Amino acid sequence: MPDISKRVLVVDDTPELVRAARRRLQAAGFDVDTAVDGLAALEAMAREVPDAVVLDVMMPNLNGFQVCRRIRAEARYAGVKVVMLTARTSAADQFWGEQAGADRYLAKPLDPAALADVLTELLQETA
Amino acid sequence: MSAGNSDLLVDSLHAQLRALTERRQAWEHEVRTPLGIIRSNAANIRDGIDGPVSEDQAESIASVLAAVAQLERLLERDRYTKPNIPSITTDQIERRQGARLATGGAGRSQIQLGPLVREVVAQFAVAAEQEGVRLSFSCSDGLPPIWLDRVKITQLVSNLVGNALKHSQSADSVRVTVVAEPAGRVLTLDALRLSVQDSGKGIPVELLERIFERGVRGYSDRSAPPGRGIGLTVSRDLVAAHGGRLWAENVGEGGAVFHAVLPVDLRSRPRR
Repeated sequence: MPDISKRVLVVDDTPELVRAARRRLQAAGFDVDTAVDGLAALEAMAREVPDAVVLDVMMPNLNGFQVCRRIRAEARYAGVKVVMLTARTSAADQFWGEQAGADRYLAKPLDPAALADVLTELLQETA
Repeated sequence: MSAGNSDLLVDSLHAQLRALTERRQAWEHEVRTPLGIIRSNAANIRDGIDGPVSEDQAESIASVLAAVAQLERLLERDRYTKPNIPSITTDQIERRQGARLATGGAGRSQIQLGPLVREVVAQFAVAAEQEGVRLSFSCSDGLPPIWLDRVKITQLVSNLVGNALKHSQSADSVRVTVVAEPAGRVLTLDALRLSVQDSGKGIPVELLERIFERGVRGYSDRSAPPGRGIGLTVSRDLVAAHGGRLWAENVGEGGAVFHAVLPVDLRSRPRR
């Protein structure tokens, strides 16, 4: 469990998956905010900068790659870790996730425990 | 069967196979989403995230997760075996279409490129709107008519615009332009440039030239839209048949652009 509560923004257009991720991450000690698409994610980040963002790739409005590129283009988000969460598992998609600036790339179906582990590890690096 | 009827049949089969593949991919996505919901929420229950779990409840949840894993394995197995049959057929049909279009008869005449491209782009407007992709077209004023084969150039524009849309997602844009080909710093009217630019993921640098090879797909991945990596090969052949050149570049702000440069008067160029 993180020593100091870290804030994570989970972005996915499937509410039931968002709920599962939120419950797991809260149990692991994270503060969790959620958004249902790319635009909503950027609005949520403008209100409060999280320590990490979990991004689905295939979403309405802005997709995950587009959101990630915008996050990386903003100096005030320089410290924000990004985890791409997607059903697309090819090397090419991982390549583009990395090009967009993602720190990690997790394949769907979502394993909430693995997500919590990855976030814990990523955010410990910045603690 | 006459050659014309045969072509119509091939076109019809091609469209049906593509539609079947698209429906299957949509179906797979529809199935995987609820499976993911069951899996992640059941895992939360198993691990006590939603409260204490009795021994009997743990056993029940373990059964649910095992069943989900079995379904996911079945989907995975199906993904790699079932599409092969239509894929081979589609590939054969596309090769035949490509050969027919690239080498087909002397149907060239002097035509204004801009209005022709506009017509083809308009055919994709509904599909683009459904996907939330902004599709636009612009053409410079005062361009000369160009010697071209209407059927081949229609196929070329369809291939390039269709390719751009396939690799775009909601809120992306696809921009189609027709301009005079820049020659150094001086604009000439010796050639026209047709460009199709998307705002998608772009193309890995090492594939920028190889994507025109048969069977190479620039955005290759398991969940990519259907296609056998032959459309760009055919497109390059179609442009070459007009004495022109087709190439791809990545653009700074993200996305890729395909440029086709077509000489205005093909008769002054050696025929390929």
